[in-house]
Amino acid sequence: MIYSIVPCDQLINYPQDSNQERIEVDINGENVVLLKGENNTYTIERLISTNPRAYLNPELMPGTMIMTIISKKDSPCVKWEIINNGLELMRE
Amino acid sequence: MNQKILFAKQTENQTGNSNNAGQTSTEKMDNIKEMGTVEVQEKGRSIHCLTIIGQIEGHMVLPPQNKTTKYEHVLPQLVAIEDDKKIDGLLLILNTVGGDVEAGLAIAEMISSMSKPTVSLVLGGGHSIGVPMAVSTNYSFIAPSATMTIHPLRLSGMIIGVPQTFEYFDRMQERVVEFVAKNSKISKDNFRKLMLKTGELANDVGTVLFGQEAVEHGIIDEVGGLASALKKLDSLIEQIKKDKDGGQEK
Repeated sequence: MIYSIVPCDQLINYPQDSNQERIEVDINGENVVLLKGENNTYTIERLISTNPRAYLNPELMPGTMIMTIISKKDSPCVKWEIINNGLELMRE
Repeated sequence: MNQKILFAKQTENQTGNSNNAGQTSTEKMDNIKEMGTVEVQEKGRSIHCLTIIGQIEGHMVLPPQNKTTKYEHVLPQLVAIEDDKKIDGLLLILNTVGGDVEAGLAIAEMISSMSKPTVSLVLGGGHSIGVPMAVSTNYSFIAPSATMTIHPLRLSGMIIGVPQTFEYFDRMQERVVEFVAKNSKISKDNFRKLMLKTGELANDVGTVLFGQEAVEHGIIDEVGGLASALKKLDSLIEQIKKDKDGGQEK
């Protein structure tokens, strides 16, 4: 049951084409929502944490690009590398 | 759906020796050096901040154009805050348009039953189910420009027009009224009056309360901003520490 000032039909109706893939992952113990982009890259869309200091961490700031490297060895794990904030590239 | 995804550095560390106790302290050091995430702050106390934004999502996942607060995120976070000895208090920041009654009440009940000091701050809007959430803390603040819309639970979609339907909505509404009356200075009758007031909203019954008005009606404790909310939280934390120390001396 919805108790909101937004009308119900506005909540449920939305244009189908704007449905981008989002995933929720754990980066260094903080919950982050990623928006899938092109070429296996993801952009941090939202940080979900109650720790106010986590929001000061530039690596977790919304807009940060993340590249995924899928490792066959540790399958099904996906390894992460944050591109534009100076973390070193992790190689096998 | 539930992909197991790990951060690169952690994956690398864990290969070969997964049960190494010494590794955790190294990781902690890494966290301090690289992430700047240190729990203990300069003031000698550590607070966590929970933001309630957009729609409160219930058992149905809302389409992605809605900004949502999900209870599956919030409830475990509240448990962790209550359980973690390093965290002294919680600041609740609200800017919400309302949402699912049960999810909202669940979060509000969790906060109201916490033993740690809690302070809320309503910014922008704390509408509908945002009202019980705002009053669930030990002390509440509202920004002068913020508003709270208080209106009855609405019928939407296909409804069978029988007296039971009305009664069901009335009982659901009563849960909200009771929670607000229990956790703030407004009486049940006055809150119901605000809900059913005519001439305030363009196409509905109900009331829009501005910052000062919400305080005058006894829903919110004080008009203020971030500094006053943090100051209040500090004083509540200080009070608890004093009580604890006093108890130990005796």
